[in-house]
Amino acid sequence: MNRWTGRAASVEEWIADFRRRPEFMANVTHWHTTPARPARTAPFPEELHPKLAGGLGRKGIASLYTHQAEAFSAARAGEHFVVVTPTASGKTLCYNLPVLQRILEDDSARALYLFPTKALAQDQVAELQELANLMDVDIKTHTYDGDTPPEVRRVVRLAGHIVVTNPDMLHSAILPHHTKWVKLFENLKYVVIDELHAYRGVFGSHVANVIRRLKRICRFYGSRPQFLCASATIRNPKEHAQRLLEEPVRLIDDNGAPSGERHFVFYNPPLVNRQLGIRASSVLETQKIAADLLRSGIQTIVFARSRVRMEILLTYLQELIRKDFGPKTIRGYRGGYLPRQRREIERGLRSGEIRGVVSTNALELGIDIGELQACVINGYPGSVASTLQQSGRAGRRRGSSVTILVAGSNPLDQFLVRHPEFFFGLTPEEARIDPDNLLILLDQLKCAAYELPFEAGETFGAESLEDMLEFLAQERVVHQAGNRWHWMAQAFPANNVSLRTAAPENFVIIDITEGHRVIGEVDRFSAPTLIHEEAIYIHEGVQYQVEKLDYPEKKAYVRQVNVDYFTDANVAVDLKVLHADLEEADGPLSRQYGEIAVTARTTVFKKIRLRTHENIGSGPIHLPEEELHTSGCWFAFADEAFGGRNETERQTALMGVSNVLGRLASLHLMCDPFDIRVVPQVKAVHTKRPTIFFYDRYPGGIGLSRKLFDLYAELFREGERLIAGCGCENGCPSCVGPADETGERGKELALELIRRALSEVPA
Amino acid sequence: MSALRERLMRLGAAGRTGGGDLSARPEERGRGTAVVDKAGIAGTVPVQDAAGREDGWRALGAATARNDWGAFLLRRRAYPSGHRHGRHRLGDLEWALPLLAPVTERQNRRAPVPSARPPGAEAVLFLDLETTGLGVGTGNFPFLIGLAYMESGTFRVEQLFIRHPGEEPAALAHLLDRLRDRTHLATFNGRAFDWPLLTSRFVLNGWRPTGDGPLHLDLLPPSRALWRHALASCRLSAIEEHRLGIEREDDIPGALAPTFYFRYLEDGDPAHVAGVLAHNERDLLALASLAVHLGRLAGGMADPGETAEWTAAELMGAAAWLDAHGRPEQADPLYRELGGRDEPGMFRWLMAAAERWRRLGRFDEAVPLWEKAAAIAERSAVPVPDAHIRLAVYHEHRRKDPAAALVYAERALALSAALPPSRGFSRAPREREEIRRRVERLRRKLAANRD
Repeated sequence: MNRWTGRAASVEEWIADFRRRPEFMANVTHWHTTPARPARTAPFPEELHPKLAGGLGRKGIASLYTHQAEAFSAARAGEHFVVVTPTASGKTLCYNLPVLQRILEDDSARALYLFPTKALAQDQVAELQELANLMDVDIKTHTYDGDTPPEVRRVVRLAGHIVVTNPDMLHSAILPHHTKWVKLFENLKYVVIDELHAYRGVFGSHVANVIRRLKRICRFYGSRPQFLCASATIRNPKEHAQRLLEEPVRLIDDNGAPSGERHFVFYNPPLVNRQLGIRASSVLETQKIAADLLRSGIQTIVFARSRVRMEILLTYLQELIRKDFGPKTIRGYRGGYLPRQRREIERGLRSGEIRGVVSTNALELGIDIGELQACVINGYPGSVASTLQQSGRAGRRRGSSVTILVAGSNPLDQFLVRHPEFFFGLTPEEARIDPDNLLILLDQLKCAAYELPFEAGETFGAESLEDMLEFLAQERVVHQAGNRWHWMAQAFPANNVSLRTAAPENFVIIDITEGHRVIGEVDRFSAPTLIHEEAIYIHEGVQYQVEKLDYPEKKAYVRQVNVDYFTDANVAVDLKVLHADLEEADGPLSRQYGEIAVTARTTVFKKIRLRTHENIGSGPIHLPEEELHTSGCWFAFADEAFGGRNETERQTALMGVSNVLGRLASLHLMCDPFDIRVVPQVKAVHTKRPTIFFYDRYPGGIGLSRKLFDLYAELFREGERLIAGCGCENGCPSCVGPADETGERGKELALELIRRALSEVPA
Repeated sequence: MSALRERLMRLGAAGRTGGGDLSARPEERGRGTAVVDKAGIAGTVPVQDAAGREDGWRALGAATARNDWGAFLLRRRAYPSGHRHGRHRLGDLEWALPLLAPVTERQNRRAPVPSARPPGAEAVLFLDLETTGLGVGTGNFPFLIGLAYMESGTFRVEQLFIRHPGEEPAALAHLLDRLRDRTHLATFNGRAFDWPLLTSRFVLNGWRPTGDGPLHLDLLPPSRALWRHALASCRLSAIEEHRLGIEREDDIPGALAPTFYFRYLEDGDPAHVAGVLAHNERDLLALASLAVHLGRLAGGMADPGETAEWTAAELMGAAAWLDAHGRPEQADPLYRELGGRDEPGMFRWLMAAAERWRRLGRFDEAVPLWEKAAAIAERSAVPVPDAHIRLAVYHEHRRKDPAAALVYAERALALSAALPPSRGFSRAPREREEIRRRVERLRRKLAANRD
């Protein structure tokens, strides 16, 4: 450490220094060190094309990592595979090698690459072209996306060896026009799907159907491509790949790449009020640690859970560091930034010009930003997989790296930071999809029928194809002639089916401070909470106030302001049971599963002062409500569960239990906390009793509530343990909620309710 | 089935299917439930036994045709060469089509031997499709393939109606048969729509494209070139009405054709598509008439009485089109006629015509046009100094007459200064600067000459 500048000579030195500082170490609940690991390599396979070996040699590669060699031989043996290894382990070569080999052997061979975003696709084309140049061969790799000019599209369709695109483009542009792609489909040898873990939930369920359509079209042209996939760490990569592809898939997860020493630190902000269980703000602690890293000259990435939080952290950090660095050396990064801006930030990170970046999970995906040295995570990202992905951004093949997870005050974060062994023992989440979700399946069936007529005896998904087609015939979009069903409607169905719930309906944000300038965008579901009128919208650390939200036109007009608060909107949720499919009871606790309708309306917003985070005002929001039909699982409590408590006490108990279960549910379902929602009702219309509802946050549901119906006992027991084990007196944000929200005896009443409810649940 | 349907209904799936046909027929909405009940059979029962409907078809002049690929419905019509459709005789195709050779050359530059085959009257196949939807996606189904061609002095129309999707291969095979002896496909937007869609249908039915397909004679691009500024719309129906002297009576709107076909699919009654067949036949006749019209223009055969009816915009469109197709000698009289016009908005056309003469080095033709344009600018509330600048350049460099040039340059400067600054003339300041420099240079020259 240079005593004059405060700069650390290396991450190692910073870590050693950190360990000596009591103001930090007092809050560290766990320090996990993964030792450095050497590389395990294998020689180039004998059959490797000499040009390919030569190209790799010129790139400085003389041997393969073991997992790369395994992938090569699996592909050569005709297997479908999925590679699961960490960031920076040379994953792309796993699929690029067999693809390039095949094209070198047979110039007519074709490959299709799918990436979830355009940015990743462009990275990939650059990499493939570099390799082709090094090999000195003419292998044509093209991106095909919304930005491809019409005259180039023709060339790509006829002559591209490797077409790199995204599932949305495959769905709406390539498959419905497959007759223009005869060359591709007749000669399609490989379909490469990277970032396989991104295809989960509704998006994944749609993509699984797009793959069904792709395979159907390949059959029509007489090809049967192999699927070469790569995924970040998830619990069920093989099962997920098989579900998505509906083919047997080989798992390749024996990572041969080296890695440096890695430190993972759990950090719990100190208690500032023990009775009320109030902790120092995780945002301020995150900022303190990140600033220390940045001042020490260590390139750092900071992750925040929400866009607002990300922008607030960026504002704080830019202010703190301004005197040490220029303003452009610390940047923000999230989905709503415009593509050009994001490319610039990615480049800056790779070159080292940008020293720090504050990001949402947008940087989790495999976008190339080089190898950073340190990562600070503000709040548990909600899943083990996300945590590993974010932490993997600070990870290098040589040299140490450090990740510091700063816990928030919610029950889930507090549970994990106090039980780190639970985190390290936890397998990462499952990627769950439901390709047979009826609405998704029906939409996709229409697209498939548009592409090729269906014949009797074909299958498409788990439902009876004939029944579904009959339904579509009644809806007058297909027509049966003999044993074939033909699309027979004026509509182009792919236009009405979006793979991602919110994608086509983004709101644009227009800065009218000086003229009109588009500065970003927000998806439809977030719009009511983020850009309602009077909201403070923060973009790259600059505050804007929303002056006008043109809801029908999907435009928000904002003006630059300088205020000392940010805004936070409340959503009022109303919920109605449409149909109960399953029902069980264990004494006072009964549970049901079925279909529900949820309406959500953003009602008021609060103004919250920067830094102190105190509430300094509020205002109404007038926006139309959003309706969602989905599946739900709900728990009703019989009178005896409350043991004669009065109305207020019942309400307090129900709120407390709901708070705890709501936070823990995602842990047991292995899903993102945003995927499942909880709503308590003191007297539910459907059950006539105090009831806690859980629902999947996607139209038609994605199977989470259904799983909860079976897993409930585990969830309730874990909830009981969490409340009983919490160190606070009367309830705190880390268990049932703070006493001033749930009532003085919240903790006691909630514990009583959950124990009585469990009284007859079989062990 | 009922369980699945019930689940879908609960999830709100019914009616979201995007069957655009329902919205196109408001009168059917009222009996919505009845339609659904009836549709329970409509969707599943195969289209009527063809034999039982032969009478209905015969009434429309159509009958089942067969080939190696199966059956389809064929409606044939024949017109003698003397038949007039609007102002043109169909027999005039004999000499008018070859005159469109420059158009096909331009449209088929990518084809291997473009100019080797002129569009001989009997070598051209007219084609117009009626389809179930828009665009060239694989689910857009051409249920009616309308063809027309000259054969031994007779104009023959053949309409290939596909009664159900199973008949498509036979109809496509018939089309290929008709294409075999012909080199050119005459269409209205066929390069972008009809032919790509048919190519897709061939692929879907197992054929693979070999070679480059027919040479195109797409009448939409020349129509756009001619009438973009002159007509409110360049749709075939607008051109028919305003330029070909054709009036359509009792014609169904083309956009409703799919709706009638879907109705036909429901109960198999030929009466539903009678209007579609008539509409498609009229399109084919209009296409032929348009080809004659364009051929006459390309051959410089528009008579003076005819061009007198045209607007300046149309004269300009026709003249520029002839230039672009290597027929400057046909264009010359049109440009001269344009120079004599006096219509609102003339400034733009005068400048364009003068520019054309200038590029040919014909200053004798260009200068009067500039002078006329300059006079218009002098009277205009929003004067554009372009004509003055051209004249200043002409007098300075061609005529070597700086005094005359200075007069125009100074007027240009005055006009430019009078241009309202706020009306989006972003080039004005820079332009003014250039004129100022020109004025100064001319003054220096004059002074030097005096010395």
